[in-house]
Amino acid sequence: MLTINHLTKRYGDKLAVDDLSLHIAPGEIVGFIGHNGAGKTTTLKCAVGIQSFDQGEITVDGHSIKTDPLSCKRALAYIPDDPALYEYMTGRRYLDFIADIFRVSAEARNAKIAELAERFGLTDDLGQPIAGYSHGMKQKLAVISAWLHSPRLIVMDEPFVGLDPRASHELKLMMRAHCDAGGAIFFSTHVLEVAEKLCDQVAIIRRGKLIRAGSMDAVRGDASLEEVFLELEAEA
Amino acid sequence: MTRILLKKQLREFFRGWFYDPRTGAARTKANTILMIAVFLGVSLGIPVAMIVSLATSLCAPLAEAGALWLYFAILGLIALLLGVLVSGFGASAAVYQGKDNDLLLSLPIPLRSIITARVLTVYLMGLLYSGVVSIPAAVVCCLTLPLRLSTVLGALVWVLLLSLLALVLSCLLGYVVAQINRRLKNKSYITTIIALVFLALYYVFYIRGMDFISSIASDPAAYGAVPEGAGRILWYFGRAGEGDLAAIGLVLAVLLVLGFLMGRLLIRSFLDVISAAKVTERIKKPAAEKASKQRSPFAALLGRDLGRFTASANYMLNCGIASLLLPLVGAALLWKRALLMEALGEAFGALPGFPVVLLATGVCAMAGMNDLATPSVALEGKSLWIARSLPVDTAQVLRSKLAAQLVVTAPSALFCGLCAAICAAGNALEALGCVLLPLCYCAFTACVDLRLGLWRTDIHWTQEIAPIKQSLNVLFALVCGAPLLILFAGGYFALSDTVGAGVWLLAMAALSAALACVFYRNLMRQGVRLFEAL
Repeated sequence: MLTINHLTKRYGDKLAVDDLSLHIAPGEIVGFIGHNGAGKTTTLKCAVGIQSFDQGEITVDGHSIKTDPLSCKRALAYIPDDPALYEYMTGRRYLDFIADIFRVSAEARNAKIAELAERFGLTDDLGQPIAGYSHGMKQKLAVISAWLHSPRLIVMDEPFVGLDPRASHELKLMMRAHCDAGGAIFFSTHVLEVAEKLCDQVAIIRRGKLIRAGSMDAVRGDASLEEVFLELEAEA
Repeated sequence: MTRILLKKQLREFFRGWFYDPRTGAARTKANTILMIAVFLGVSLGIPVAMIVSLATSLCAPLAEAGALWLYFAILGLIALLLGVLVSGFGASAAVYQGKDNDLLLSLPIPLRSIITARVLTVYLMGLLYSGVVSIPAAVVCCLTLPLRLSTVLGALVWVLLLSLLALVLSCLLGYVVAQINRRLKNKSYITTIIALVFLALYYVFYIRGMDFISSIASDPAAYGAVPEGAGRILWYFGRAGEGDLAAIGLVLAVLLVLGFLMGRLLIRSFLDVISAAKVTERIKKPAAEKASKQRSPFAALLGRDLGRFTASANYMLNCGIASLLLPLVGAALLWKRALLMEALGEAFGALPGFPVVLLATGVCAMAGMNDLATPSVALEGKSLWIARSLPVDTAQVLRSKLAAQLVVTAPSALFCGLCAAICAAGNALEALGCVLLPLCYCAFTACVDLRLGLWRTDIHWTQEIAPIKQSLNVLFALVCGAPLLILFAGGYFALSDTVGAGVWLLAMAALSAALACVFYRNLMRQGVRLFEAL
């Protein structure tokens, strides 16, 4: 679904991502963990075509993000760590905008918006301008917009930040259901307990280099993910 | 604390001059000097020349008649109007709508320091625009009258007093706009209407003022007497400009009291206004759930850009005012047709067809005042990730921005062009040219405006007013069509013996269309690359 081969990204002299390779197969939830400034967000942004990169190749569903970005973007949805949405739109108008871009039919979008908004307790707020939303409500709206067009790959940067416990629970259920239906999810998080319980695969990045990747069981062995992560940090 | 915030505010205000908005790197000294020179030259050159001419015609006669106070009073009022009009409608955004409100309020900073720093932006805007009038007026006075220390000091103090008065009035206007925004639903439209009423009052004042000034220049002694009643306030203000210490003391004292009261009002209202901005949105009843209709991606993008435009009074006022003025001017052309054509006939009787060329050029000039495509790129701000992560071609995003400007401008330009054609009552070719030229010119300015919007775009603004009003891109967008406009009128003036007005207008329309194509092509190549690199 998502293949990253030898990705390298520099900001001036600073090497943000260093020869990173990763493969995410359909049906997998892949957690991406690392310390602050490790290169997680840069990798995610490169993967969804928001940021250019210096070397390497990224493909989504077999399409290159460099040469055929539109095909890639049609197959994916992205939620950034700070969901800055169009504040002058109402929640409903924003969702309609996203649905129009992805050519979601009126019937399909109305049904999906009703279902997802109910799930996240956002139904009564959809008619309000986004300017009045709290951070958590914006995050919920971003999640709904990501699921609205049934993407095959969902890329999320710290998706649980700002969500209330109920919404976090719903999101976890939706992530699992999405992958059970053949989709894939690649997300970054600092909450190692969530990653441990939710992910099929885990990738650990440090100073732009992928230092460990594989199935959750293979990576953590008998220890907890937290212990493995701290151990790897200490080694480096 | 206040000093730290003032420095931050100054850095934000002048950031574009000293730092490259894209890379954040400091500009070279030469680059900075060039930027400042271009800014001053382009934005201030013409108005300053007009003011110098007006001041020169008034200063000596009024001084000779012993009515120099009237000189300072008249030019002070013009300066005040300009300063308040320009900075006043941005004052609400500048004081209350900073994106760093939450951050600053969470820090141990007294509210008065935050307000003081915010008010500094309003002051600088007011000083900049009132200074366009007051500084040349002061210089003209010092050069015209015999050089005395009291004259120079008086003029200097007058400039400062004027900027303080502009600040107080701008803040008051900002406060009123903020209160309106708190209470009304369609706030952007209401604010726009209020601004337009002020603008209309300004023009009424301007037209009457010009008559008044003409009569003063012809008989200054008649107006030099010390007035009674409300006119006495103006007299004190004018006397302050003459260097009268008592008048300076009085005006300064009044301004300090007003400034203190204004400051108290802003401090007391700040928390209410910024929290009400969110609360009022939340307590409204949810909008009725409407089943949505599917639109094409392009229609969705266009709707997004038009939605951004109509959601902000600042955006509409600064970048779309021509859409309202063009129909008004068109109607006025039809209404005063006989009078206008008679005047143009008298002035340019030897140049057949010149009136229609002049009218068409005027319509183009007015249509060129709309430049919503320019700030539309920077206004993407932190939401840029949405456009970048969606499956839409960057060229399509740019096309929707172009279309938004054309949708807002072209219908008004078409109407005004038709009115101008009817007013001029030329032959069919002239009428066609009079309608086609403004439309082609709209296409040209839309392309140039968007291209300028992609030049050194700063998406990291903290106040919306920065990309809309304070950027160099917007300034250039306002004047970019001037060479073409000069060609439209000046070219025909020179070639009227060899070419008819209709043919000339159509040729200029073709030229505008061709230039629009050139810029469009550039947008679709270089513009796309620039947008993707943001």
